[in-house]
This record gives sequence, structure tokens and C-alpha cells, in this order.
Amino acid sequence: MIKILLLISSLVTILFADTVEDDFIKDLQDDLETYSQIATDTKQNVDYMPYIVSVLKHDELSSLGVLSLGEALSLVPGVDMSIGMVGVKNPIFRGSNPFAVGQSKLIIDGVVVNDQMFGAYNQYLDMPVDIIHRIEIVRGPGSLQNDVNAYAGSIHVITRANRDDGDEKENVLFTSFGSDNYRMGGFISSYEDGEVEINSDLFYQEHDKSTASGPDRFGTVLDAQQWLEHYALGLSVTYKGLYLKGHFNKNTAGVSTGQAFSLSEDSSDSVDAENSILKFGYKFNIDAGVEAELSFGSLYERRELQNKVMPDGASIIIQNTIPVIFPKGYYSVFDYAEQTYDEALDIKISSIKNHNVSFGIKLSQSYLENNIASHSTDGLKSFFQVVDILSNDSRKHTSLYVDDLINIDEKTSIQLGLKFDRYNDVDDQFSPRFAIVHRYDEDNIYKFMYTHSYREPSWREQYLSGTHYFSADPNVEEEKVEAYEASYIRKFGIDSDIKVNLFYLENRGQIHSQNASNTFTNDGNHELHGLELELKTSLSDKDQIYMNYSYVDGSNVADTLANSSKNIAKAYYIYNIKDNINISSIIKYVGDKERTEEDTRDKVDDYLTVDFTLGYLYKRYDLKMTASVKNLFDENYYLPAPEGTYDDDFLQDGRSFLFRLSKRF
Amino acid sequence: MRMFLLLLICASLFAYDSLLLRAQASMFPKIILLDKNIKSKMIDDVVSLAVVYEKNEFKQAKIFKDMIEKNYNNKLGKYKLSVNLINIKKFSDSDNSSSYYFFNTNGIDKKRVIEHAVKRKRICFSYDYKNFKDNTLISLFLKEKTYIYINKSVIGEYNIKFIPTFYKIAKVI
Repeated sequence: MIKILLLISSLVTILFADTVEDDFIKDLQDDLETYSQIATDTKQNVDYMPYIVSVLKHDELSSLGVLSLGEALSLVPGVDMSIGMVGVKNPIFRGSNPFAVGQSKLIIDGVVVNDQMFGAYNQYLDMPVDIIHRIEIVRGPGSLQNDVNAYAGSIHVITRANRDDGDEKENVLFTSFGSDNYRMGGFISSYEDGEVEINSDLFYQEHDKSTASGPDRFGTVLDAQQWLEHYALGLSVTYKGLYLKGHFNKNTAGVSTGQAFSLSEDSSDSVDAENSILKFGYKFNIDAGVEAELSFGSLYERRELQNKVMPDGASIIIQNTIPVIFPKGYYSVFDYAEQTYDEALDIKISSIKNHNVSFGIKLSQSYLENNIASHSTDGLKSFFQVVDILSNDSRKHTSLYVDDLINIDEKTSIQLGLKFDRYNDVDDQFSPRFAIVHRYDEDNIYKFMYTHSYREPSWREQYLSGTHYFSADPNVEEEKVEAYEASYIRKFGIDSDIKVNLFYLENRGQIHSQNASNTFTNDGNHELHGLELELKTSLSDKDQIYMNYSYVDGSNVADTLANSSKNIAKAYYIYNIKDNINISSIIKYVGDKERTEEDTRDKVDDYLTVDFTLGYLYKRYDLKMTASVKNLFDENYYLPAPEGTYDDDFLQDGRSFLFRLSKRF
Repeated sequence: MRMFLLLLICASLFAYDSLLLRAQASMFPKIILLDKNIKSKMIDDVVSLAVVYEKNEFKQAKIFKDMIEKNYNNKLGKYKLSVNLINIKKFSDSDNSSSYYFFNTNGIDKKRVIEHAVKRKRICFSYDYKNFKDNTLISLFLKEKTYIYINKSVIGEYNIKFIPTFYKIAKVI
């Protein structure tokens, strides 16, 4: 009897032991899946995935003294800036059509913020790095979100309030001040109670920058007013699978180099932009390994502009013969607002062995809410030509996508994707994608990607009506691109590697207005080809070095590589003198730039800028301070202006100083 | 060119990936318990993990220890878990830890610690699987998926019997 009891006891012990071990095995399996998912979501393992992505992280950007999203983008290989109306900056990827706005998409915490009017997102370029957790930049049309079709590139910003890397959320106070009376302050706040999580960020910034400009197209020489008053609020609330997130952004700024590329002496001129996004959704599991997300979004944007677009005494010729003089100049006033609603259902299936399938549908409806252009020739006392800015007031869009990332084995993965888009005012679009990544071993990775994509015309390009500097063509068609990309990555450790990317882009129907009537039209087919080289490593245990070089050749509009540099090189170096003191430097070289064929001006000169930053962490209070000098050697450099506007181009910022403080709680 | 590559390889030894560390802090203690003979490697029902560091790795070692302690609150299943920091220069031959963890340290001192561990059939984890050349036994790697790697060339020397299902989720390389 005792033997039997002992036997039973032993069996129970063994069974219990097995159960405990099985629990640990199951925990380990869960961990493997969890960390794989985090690595994929945060692009930690992106070198092994079928994309060409640059990931910029907060700590790195902060140590480098980088102030804003726009400044951060300038570190990415092959990315340059162009300048459009009212001095608005627009990132250019790989030299692709610098006259088009919207060839790249900006996604903030999973929500596309490009507007319908211009395809623009410029008001977010001033977003301070203090609220950014990381920036994922895809060069080329392959977006990291299957429901988003980028054209030349996509930028995904993950804010610290919405960080998804599994680390604890933060409470941070931050402030900056510097040249041109720059002042900025804000906070990030997090609250968690059981399954309820509330995260928010808020900032306000202002400066009174102005830049010597001109002569403009009327021969005026003045300081372009680039002052800024900007505040923004981000909010994220989650409860179980439910979430609500939003960003509310308002900035008022000087009109800089003008709506119609002319300088204004009226100090009351301004451009007022309000942009808000809201997304409400529910994530739920349909079955083991089958996740669904139902979401509803809203994007509202309003732009109000007052701009004296012709100086006192300016004249125009009407009907080819009759001169009309404006003794008190000519004002344009715009009040424009658009609203987009969208509804989406996304399904992800990870339960099929070696497949990660996602598919979904998204419906969106965009409407004009305000649409008024008015003009004044008596100093804003009375208005005439009070007309609609656009000849169309809505766009409806249905999008379907399916994507499968197939891990054939440990060495090879392929991605197959197809997106279908139907608009009420643009032709149906099929956008296929094929990508293969071969991990020869952990240190040698080869990738090849083919993507077809398109960019639908913005409302400005298609429907602008009335008399303005630009004109639209209602028959303008979408831009299309066939992108072939190859990449080789040689890793020398977890954070040290060399990357070589080759690309060939066939662009069709590029939309631009570089013609006599400034009318947006499709202009032929062009090809771009080039390469990007990147090196990231450390020379000791105290430093970090990053260098990239990009080369592009071919043509973007007409038969030239207009307004884009063939050669761009960027580098930064961070040296930790002690564990709480570091110095860093950023060096950027942008080669000279050709003009359009009709533009007889000399090339835009090349330039080199150097930034220097000293950082100090006061450990006792977790207070981080940085002092930066930007454009240390006060290099005079210019970004190109369209022909017939500013003959001497747009002068950029000289030497400036910036001090920043941030404290974590 | 060869010198340049060598410089890169050497330089790469000093970078630490916070996500990888978090994953290791979560998984490695569980793996210790999958050793069938773990009871014989405990003292007073305490499973101990020695984080062996060189002087310049102390900060990272402290972070790693804090990560594990936060995850486990000093309890590993029905046992107690103790994470100890050991300066490799002060390593004692009488050390009786249940397992060892190494960052990217190398050299004679590391060899001595690993020989000590192998002799006593204790698991040696390494931050980077590339350090398998130093005869560490287990590491973790984040690629398109997360992999637990077991060092094929020394698995016999360690002579540690893991529960069979562990071999189904780990990869012997």
C-alpha cells in the first residue's frame, strides 16, 4: 500500500513538474512571438525584412540637437527639400519631381495626414523631436502600411505618447529657446489605471524669423516674414481593444516668399493652417491568430490666407493689350477648408504557417467645407471676384488591399501585395508589389523589390479655378511609377552595418506647372536611377558614427534632373565624453542642382553645413540639456526658386543657436 | 579594406540593443528551469544567474539585472531567483551560480569562467550568438522572427539535459 502511495506521489510530482516546465515552454513560445511582433512593429528587424527603411530614434536625434521632424528628415539618404508657395518646404525623395507636393506620405501614429488640396503635410514638419519616439522613412513607393500607397517615399512618425515598443510610457517636460526669439515648451503625459491608458502631448512654439529675400518677380527686395506661432495637442486613449487617438495642430505664420512668389510689405499678411485628425477603432480577435481592426477616421484642414501678392503700383496686362495698374497693390484672400471621413476594416492572419496575411477595405469621402477666394485692390477695404477656389467639391475613394509576407524558410521571405483603388474622379488603379529578401546568413542580406504605385492629382492640380498664379487642368491624370530596388546589407554586429541600395524608377505623367501658363499638366515619362550607401558603426565603446551618400541621375521633369542634386552626402558623429556628457556633429553636403531646360540661370550652388551640439545629463534630476550651433560656419546656401520668380533663389538659414532642456518624471 | 572590416567588427562589439536585452531578460531565466537537473544546481532552492561583466560593461549589467528583477520579482516558478553582478576580474573559482550571462567581453578571464561553468554543467548565455566561438551555450537573435540559438559545437561538453520540448522551439546551430 505504501509503495502504491509512493508511486502515485512520484507520478503526481513528475506530472506537476512537467506541467510547470510546459508552462515555461508555453511562456517562452509566447515571448518568442511577442518579441518578434515588437521587432517587426518597431522596425528593429527591418534589415531582415523586404523594405528599404531608415529608422531615426528620439535619443539619437536628441543627442544630435535635431529640433524638428523636418530637420530629422534631412539626415536620410537621398532626401532633399524643395520650396513652394508661401515658403512651404516639401521633402524630395531620390530627385523625384520636386515640383509636386504629395509624392511622399506622412503618417502620424498610423494616420495619413496629407490633405486633398495640395497633398501636403508641411505644417507637421515643425513638430518638435521632443514628442517623437521614432521616425520610419521608406524610400521608394513601398509603404510599411499595406493600406497606404506612397509614391516616392513615406514617413511614419510614432509619437512618444503612442510608443509601441513595450517600454513604459513617459512623463516629460521640455522647453527650447534660441535664435530669432525661438521659444518652445510642452509636455508628454501618461496615465494608466488597469486597462485604461491615457497619453497626451502638448507643445507651443514661436519665433520671429525673417530672411533677406528678393528680388522677387516684381523686383522687390524685402525680408521674407517667416514668423511662426504653432501649437499642437496629441491624445491617445485605449481601453482593452478600443482606442481613440487624435492630433490637433494649428499654426499661424508669415507668408514668407508669398502665395504668388512675391514679397509683401504688409506685416498683417499671414497664413493660418488648422489641421486635426481623429481616429476611433476597435481591435479584436476573430480566432487564434486572426486579428481584426475596425476604425473610423476624420481629417479636417482649414487654411486661411491673406497675402499682398502685388506691390503698390504693380500692373498687369489683360486681353494682351490693356495695362491695369494697382496703386494700392493687389491682395488675395483665401478661406479654404476640407473634411475627410474614412471607414476601414483590416484583418491580419498569422495562424497560417509561415504566412502573415493582411487584407482590408477602406472607404473615404472628402468634401470641401469652405472654398472662397477673394481679391482686393484697395487695401482690403472691399473685395471683388469672390469666387470658388476649386471647381469640384468632393472626392470619394474606395481602397482594397491584400498582402502576404511568406517566410519560405529561415533564409528567404517573399512579399506579395496588391492594392486596388477606385475614385469618383481618377481612373481605377491596381498597385502590385513583389519583394524578396534572402538572408544568406545573419550578416549578409540581399533584397529585391518591385512596386508599381501612383499619385492621384491633388485638388489644386485638378480643380483650381479663377485667376491665380497657378492654373489647373481638369484632365490632368495620376502620376505613375514602376520602382525596381535592390539592396545589400552587410552587418558587423547588432548596430553596425554597411548598406548598398540601387534603384531604377520609371516615372510616368509627372505633374508640374513649369510652363508659360503655370498650369499643372502631365509631362511625359522619365526615368531616375541611382544608389545609396550607408555606414553605421562605432569607432570605440563611446561613440557612434553614421555616414550616407546618395547618387541619382536621369530626369524628373522634361529632360533634366531639375532642382535636385545628383550627389548628397550626410554624416553625424556622437561621442560620449562621459556617460552623461556628449558632443555631436552633423555634416551635410548637397551638390549643385540643374534647372529645367527653359530656365537659363546657372545651376544652384552646392553647399555644406555643419552643426555642433553639446549634451549634458544632470543625473540627479534626470534633466537633459543640449546646446547647439546650427550652420556653424554660416554658409550662405539656397534652395531653388521656380523660373521667373526669385532669380537668386531662396536663401536658407544662416548660423543659429538652440538650447534645449527636458526632464523626465 | 580588410583592416577596415576588422575595425568594424571590433567596433560592433560595444553596441547593445535594448529590445534584445529585454527579450533576453524575459526568456533566459525560463530557460534555466528547463535544465532537468536544475535542482542540483541550486542552493537553498535559489536559482542564481550571474551577470559577468567587464569594467566598461557595469552600467549595462546593472540595467540587465534590473530588467530581470522587474520581470520576475525574485521568483522563478516555485523557486527564488537571484541575479548577481560579478566583475570578471574578481571571479572566484568557488562560485556556484546556477547559470552565467556574458555581454561582449572576451579574453582569458572569460575563458576561465566558461571552463568553470562547463565543468559544473552550468548554462552560459551570451548577449550575441557570435560569441558562441567562446563556448557559450545559448543566445537569442531577432531576425524576421525571434530565435533561441543553442551552440551545437559545445552542447556535448556542457552535457546539460534539457526537457525535450525545448529543442522544438530552439535552434541548434
